Amino acid sequence: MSTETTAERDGAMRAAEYVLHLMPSADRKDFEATIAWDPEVRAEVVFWNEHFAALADEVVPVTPPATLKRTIEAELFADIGNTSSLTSKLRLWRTAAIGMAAVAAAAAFMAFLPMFTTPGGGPGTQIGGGAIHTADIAAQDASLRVIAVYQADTGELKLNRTAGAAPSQRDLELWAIIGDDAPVSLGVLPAGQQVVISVPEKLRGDFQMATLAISEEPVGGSPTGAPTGAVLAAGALATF
Amino acid sequence: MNTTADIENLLSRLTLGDRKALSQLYDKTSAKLFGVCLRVLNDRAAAEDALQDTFVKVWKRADRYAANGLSPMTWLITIARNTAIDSLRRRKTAGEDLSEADAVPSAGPTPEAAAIASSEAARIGACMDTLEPDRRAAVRGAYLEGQTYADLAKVHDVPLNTMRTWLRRSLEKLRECLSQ
Repeated sequence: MSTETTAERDGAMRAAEYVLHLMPSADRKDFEATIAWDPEVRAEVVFWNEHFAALADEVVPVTPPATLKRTIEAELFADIGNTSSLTSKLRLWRTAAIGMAAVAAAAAFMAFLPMFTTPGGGPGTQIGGGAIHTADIAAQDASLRVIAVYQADTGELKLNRTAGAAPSQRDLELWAIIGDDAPVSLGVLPAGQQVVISVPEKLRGDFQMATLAISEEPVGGSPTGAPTGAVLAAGALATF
Repeated sequence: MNTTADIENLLSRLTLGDRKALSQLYDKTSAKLFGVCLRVLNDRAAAEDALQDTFVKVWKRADRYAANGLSPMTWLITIARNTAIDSLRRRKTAGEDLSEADAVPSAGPTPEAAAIASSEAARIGACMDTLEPDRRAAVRGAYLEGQTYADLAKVHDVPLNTMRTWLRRSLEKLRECLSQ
């Protein structure tokens, strides 16, 4: 260290300030240019980053909310549906009920709907010879969450609402979206926490690929047969 | 166990577009990185957003990892921390443009620097202990909580220039200790 020039020492201190984010943002930008061409400054930045990162050893790990991973995957992988894109798709379907042009546009859009499987998903489950599929139908802010379990051999869809309720004077309606087809109503969700729905025979063939969505509707359900209110939560069935 | 080699392996698979590798990397590292974001932001919703941005960046920039000379956990922590600090500063100075802070500049390979630094990383604790308690707290506040000179001056109730001097002297001392 004793042979080091003032300039070198200054570079090292600026690297430390840079790593600590103590530089004003304009200086930070300038310094990044220096990092790019000066290998010694670069080495100083690595030096400080490595040493300071060890301070993070004391940071207590905190498990993030379970929905966040899927939100990230939905953001990164366009073929995995997420609530917001699904909302826009369902809005398209709402419009589609009004005009054929919209139907065509929506159909083109719906071609991109998810065939979602969770990478590195949960444990394999087989009961009574029929595969089990589950969906986490959750609002992005976790204000509404329904866990759905579909048993293919019986066509039973078990729903467990773990958070949220219908807005006042409104009902929650469950929809299934399969492939390019328009959303099909599975009915108004009863107020109870746990319900079992029998999936209509004609939907069962591809039901394991369905995305399930919940919209808020007038009491008694959508009057049009397509979602009319806001889509509050959505999740794709995944095979475990 | 999350060995360096495991995480390095997952990062290299990300560059091939391996989604499963991202899922595994998330399972292994998200709690630590969420802790880092929370420490800086002190707000769950903001920390969730920062963690989301962190993994999006990790996915998109995994190809730059090999060239930046950092060990894999340091790289991840640096991205999480920079993202969180960026968000913190944006929230504090709403309207002012401070959006650039998230980049970990691509820096060209310095594997020997990384190897030396990571093997000696644990020494930071011992070297921090050589600092006076209030100065040690200031360095920790800057790193772990993303505090600015102004924040630190306020917290420690000293003039801004005094805080700059504190930090500078502390960093010089740290560097000397760490380089021995």
